[in-house]
Amino acid sequence: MVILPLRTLSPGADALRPVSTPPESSEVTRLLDVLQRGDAGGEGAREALYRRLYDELHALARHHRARWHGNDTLNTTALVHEAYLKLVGGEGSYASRAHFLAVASKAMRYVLYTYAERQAAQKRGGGAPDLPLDEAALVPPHRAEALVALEEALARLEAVDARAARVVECRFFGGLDVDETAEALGISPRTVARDWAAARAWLYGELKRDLLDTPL
Amino acid sequence: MSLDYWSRAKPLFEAARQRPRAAREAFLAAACDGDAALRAEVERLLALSAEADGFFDTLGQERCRLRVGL
Repeated sequence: MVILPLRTLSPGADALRPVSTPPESSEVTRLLDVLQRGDAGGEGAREALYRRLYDELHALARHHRARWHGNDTLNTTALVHEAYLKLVGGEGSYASRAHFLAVASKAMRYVLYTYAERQAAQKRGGGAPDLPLDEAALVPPHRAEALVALEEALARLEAVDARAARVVECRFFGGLDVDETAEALGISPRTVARDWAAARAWLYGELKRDLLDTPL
Repeated sequence: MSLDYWSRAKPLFEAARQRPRAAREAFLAAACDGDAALRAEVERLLALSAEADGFFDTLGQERCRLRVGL
């Protein structure tokens, strides 16, 4: 398979791509194509794809929840990849798959946070956000506080280093490897490795401090 | 910890990490040029890094199985 750097893809390159995707995935595929072209429509397409994937990941998590027993935990990597197979299948290129997984990783981040926040609120006995408790149960109570702390720390990091936050989303929430993350974000694998090392050291320090009462 | 030093600490953290442990102190002394707070932040990140590797590697094997309270 030939892997083109993202910025060398021109709108014309789309014409060379096969169009044999199943109908239910055509909208997602179209958004991915727009995203990959990197033109003016890119941000709108990213936003639309994000909303679509946020809903999809919620639905997939609910689906799994219905069949779960006991101590199962939410496997975010599996969900993100399942969403890809469902919505795109085997038709996508390496680059478009990476784009999809990066956006899905961000959506997964917020899906997980929604559950964790709900669960943590329940644990505190305080006002709960609007989400059914059985969905919040996708995050076990003893992990909810850590996930909330992780999200809060990641949001602080994002404010000063957005790229590092993207890398954390891909590596942690989506389970992308270094090369996939590099492809998705249009940066070098070396930059991914550097951002990841620095970000996780810093995030770990924040979690350690925020959860002082609860040993990590 | 404040992120005030992030943009300067991050490249120094990376550069120090590439050096043998024994060479890090001299490197940081020169690179931080008397900025004690900056140096402290880089050293803090280096110390956290070893622990963080194990922590996030576990997460890597079992996504989101944060081992809190276990």
